[in-house]
Amino acid sequence: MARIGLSQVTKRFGGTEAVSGLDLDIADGEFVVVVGPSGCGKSTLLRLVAGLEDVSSGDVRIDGQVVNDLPPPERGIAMVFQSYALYPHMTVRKNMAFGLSQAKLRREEIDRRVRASATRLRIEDLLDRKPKSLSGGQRQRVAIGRAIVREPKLFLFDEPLSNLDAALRVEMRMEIAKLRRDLNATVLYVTHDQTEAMTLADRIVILNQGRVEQVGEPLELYRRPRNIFVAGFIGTPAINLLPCTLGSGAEGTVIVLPGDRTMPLPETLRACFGAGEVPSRITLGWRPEAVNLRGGTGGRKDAITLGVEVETVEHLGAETFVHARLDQRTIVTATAGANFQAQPGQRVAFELPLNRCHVFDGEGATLHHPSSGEEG
Amino acid sequence: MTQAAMTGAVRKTPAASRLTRQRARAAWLFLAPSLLVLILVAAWPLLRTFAYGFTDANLADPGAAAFIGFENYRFLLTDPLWWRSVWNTVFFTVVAVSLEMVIGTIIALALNAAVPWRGGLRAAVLIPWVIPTVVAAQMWGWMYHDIHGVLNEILVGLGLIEAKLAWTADPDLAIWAVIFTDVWKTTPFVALLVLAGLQMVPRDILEAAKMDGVSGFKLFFGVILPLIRSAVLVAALFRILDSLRIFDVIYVLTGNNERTMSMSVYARQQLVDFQDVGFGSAATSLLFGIVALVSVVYLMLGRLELMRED
Repeated sequence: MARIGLSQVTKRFGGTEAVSGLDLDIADGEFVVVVGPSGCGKSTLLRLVAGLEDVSSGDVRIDGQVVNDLPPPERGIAMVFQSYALYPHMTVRKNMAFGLSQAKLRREEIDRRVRASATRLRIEDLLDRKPKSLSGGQRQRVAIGRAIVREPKLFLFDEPLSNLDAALRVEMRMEIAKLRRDLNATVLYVTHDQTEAMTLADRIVILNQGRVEQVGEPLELYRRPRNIFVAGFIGTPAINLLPCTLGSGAEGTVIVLPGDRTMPLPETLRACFGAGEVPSRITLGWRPEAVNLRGGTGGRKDAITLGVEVETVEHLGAETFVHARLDQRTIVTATAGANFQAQPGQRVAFELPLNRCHVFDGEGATLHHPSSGEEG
Repeated sequence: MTQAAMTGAVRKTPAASRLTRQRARAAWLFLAPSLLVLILVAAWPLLRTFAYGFTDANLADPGAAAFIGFENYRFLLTDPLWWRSVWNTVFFTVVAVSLEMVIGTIIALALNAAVPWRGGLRAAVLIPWVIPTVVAAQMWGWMYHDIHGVLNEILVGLGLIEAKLAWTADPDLAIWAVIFTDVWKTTPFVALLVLAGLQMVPRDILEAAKMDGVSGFKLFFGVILPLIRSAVLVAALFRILDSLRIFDVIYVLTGNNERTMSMSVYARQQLVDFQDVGFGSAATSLLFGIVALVSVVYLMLGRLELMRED
């Protein structure tokens, strides 16, 4: 187990900054997942901690010691690669033992460790097979086994499940969660899959263009995103975002919704701006599960009701996603019950309750999010 | 199964086989031109050579040849000069190919590393391979020249040798002069093939090895070499076959010198200088047999090795 500290870590490749001035502290035994769109620098971040890349500036600390100049094997780290990176010419046993024999461990100790982790991962029967004859899931287990035998202070996972099919991915995800509880290890895990992030992490780091957008517990990121990027990145289907403009009309401040629909600024929204000046552009956001479907168009006072045209209806069994068009550029998604039926082209009304609305300013920073009891 | 369905299933078979026959016919049609060319330029001359090997044909009048059975082969196998040339060829092959493989692999590893000017270096390394062998051999012949050669000039100038050496004429030095020239000329070919193999090695595996703390010789022999094995084996096979047939470098540098004479040089001498088409053909046929045998054995060993891997 180890504490990891990154301070002002920057990595440049030529003229481009893959990671810019990144600060992050990982506590002993914590499971931290780094997510972000492709090219956001998450893999680079992992490789910097591993020592496969050198930092351009800043410090990487493990247990308080700066390890910038320490080669990978001396950092006490094990890494699981996306492609598994098993040695194809070696048996599973040799794959797991190779690093240990390099570290000059005694034979019996190597044997003991290999057998222990093989048992833990249920790959005892595969020890004398070559990687070529293993399935994707088995290779993944071997790759994890190779990391475990080293008894590292820190595990690094680089998108370990992305080469597996959906069913296996769920199984391995639970396995990693269990493994982590058993080993009580510090883990830094990179993925582009937010489900993995939400289910595995103690804390999630959202990375975008080499910078941290937000660090927090999974539900905190979901409920209280710090900005529009985090709100849009976490959650499937994605949050509905309606860019609006504010102006003044005869009855005071008015809000112009997409589709040029103008209405007086509701008092609930007005309160978000506090005593300060009312911005000219804001974005309103509702999670799909916050959107209610209405048969008629009669609007409630504490909600914005939008007339929309159904585009597609996705029945997932337990629930139904309804994607409907508000105007040329805007699609709004609502979560409906399992038995919801609608035809494409049908007009329906979406009711957006104001007490479940996220409000972002013109730059995308959060002005207001629903109090946690109401979001869900 | 109903009657109708069964007849349907039975009827399907001839239709499928008609399609198969059509495909086979089309395949033969496409293959025909190249087969014809191969028969004309490879199979026919080869058969003629085999046939001449059993006659006493003479270059002046090959038509007036008489069948003499295995007489040529009997004489060939008792000729000390033939055995000398076999030994020369084997010695040359073993030494030259070993050197080429080792040096070529080292160059490939260097080129594969992220060195500055990599593109230019790769091109530069290939230059010896691009020069026609006869030109290269002649060039080295001049450099090896005992009186005017630059090699002697440099070595004497540096004080490494006392007197100028006859590199290509000295019985003990000539074979080494030949080997050195061949290594200089064909190492780039080996380097290129091994480099292609090295570039196929997944970066993740090298990084996993790095995390495992594996480096240096252990990294090369434990991880990299097994991964590029097939590229290395192919490069070695090509070089072995070429070396067993070696002619141009040796002939240009040392002519018919007994101490460097290869099997090909021997056959040429019999066939052209001594005008003995029958005997020369017999020597050529035997050379062909040896090369064929070596490649078949080599490929079979390689396949066995691969099967053992699985």
